[in-house]
Amino acid sequence: MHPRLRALVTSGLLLTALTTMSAALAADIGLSPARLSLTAAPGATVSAEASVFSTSANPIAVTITMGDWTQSSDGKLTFLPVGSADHSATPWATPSATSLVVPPGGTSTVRISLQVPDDPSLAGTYQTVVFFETEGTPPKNSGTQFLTKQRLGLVVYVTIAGTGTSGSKLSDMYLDGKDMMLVLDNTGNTLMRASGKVELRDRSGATVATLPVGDVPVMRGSERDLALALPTDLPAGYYVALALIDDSRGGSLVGQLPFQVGN
Amino acid sequence: MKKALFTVLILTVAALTAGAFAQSISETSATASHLIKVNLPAVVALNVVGDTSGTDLSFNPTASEVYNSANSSTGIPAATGGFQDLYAFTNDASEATLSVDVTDSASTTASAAVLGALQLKGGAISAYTAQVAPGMPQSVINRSDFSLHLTGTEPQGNYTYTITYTLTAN
Repeated sequence: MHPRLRALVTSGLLLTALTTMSAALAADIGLSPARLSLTAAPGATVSAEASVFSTSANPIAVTITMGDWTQSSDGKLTFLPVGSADHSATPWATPSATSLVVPPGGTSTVRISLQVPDDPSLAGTYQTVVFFETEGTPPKNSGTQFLTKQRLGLVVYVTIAGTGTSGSKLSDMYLDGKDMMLVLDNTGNTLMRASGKVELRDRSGATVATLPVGDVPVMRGSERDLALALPTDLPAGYYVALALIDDSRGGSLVGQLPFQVGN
Repeated sequence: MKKALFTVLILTVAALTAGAFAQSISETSATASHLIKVNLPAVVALNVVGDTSGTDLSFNPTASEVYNSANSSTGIPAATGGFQDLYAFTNDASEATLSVDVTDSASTTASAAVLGALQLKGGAISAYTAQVAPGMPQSVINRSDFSLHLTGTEPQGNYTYTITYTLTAN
């Protein structure tokens, strides 16, 4: 078979397999956009839409609630009751509906409005989360049962116009087992999004591996510890890790760490 | 940690070699092309059938892989179940987090004891989080990550345990 024809056949088979898999995994919901980042002045109202979509063959009932959240230095999210988190925008937020039914294979749209208090002391980025939660599978048997629910969290950031301060540093790099650790500090009062890479260079200066750093959020005034897995096939020898991190608000962070693999 | 070996330089973008960074991420707004999705197989819903005295307790065989019996001495439901693969999807460039929380229908009286006894992947925790690989078209959470071991000390009765999967891309 001609290589190009073989590639076409392979692609077709792969597409068929993916389509079959998607059909088997029906009854799902999605959210777009994945998050909202808004800007508003004190006393102003700002809003944006989000769409909940479904590929289910049946209507899906969804309840909409608000919540607070925080993020630990290792990136884990903790959802909290309303009013219990610092820099919460939850009291300002109102969704246009508290429930909806997503039609089969369709989309429902919700508008999230935030009324920012007319308070001159407000500064920087505030956050909230809008939950879209399915009702779960109804019990079918008596006795003890397990239900599963799906919940999508739409994170909403709102930054008070003209009050943002930026500032960040790469405060540490070290090896922790098989991980290269980066410690990022956001010293500003707005959300920082970090991206970039860590290059591993051998003694000749050649780059032997690159560890990508994705779009990593670092909350205002907080630290974030990133664990990047080192390649398992890195030959024994001396290396220098060069971190090149971009702060979304401007500026970049660079650090280097010499290290040794093997004896 | 060897801070002495670590050097930090803060440079301006202009001072850096062109192309050293993939891209800057706009903070103004997410685009409509960014989405997240939880995709649970229908069979992930688990049903414990039979009575709660512990003599006839099993998961729906189409929904889980591992079965166990109840603690008959106390009449407490105890079961182990392995979930089917759980699919979480994100095409957002940033990281997404999938968390699992478990509550019970008697949470007003017994939540602390019960949740403290729930185990996910060997740890006595009430919630579990997993990072969904950023920028991947689909991430599969292996079934081994979601083995649920329930060893609660509920008063005898019928309970509904609700397992909530939350996917968030912040």
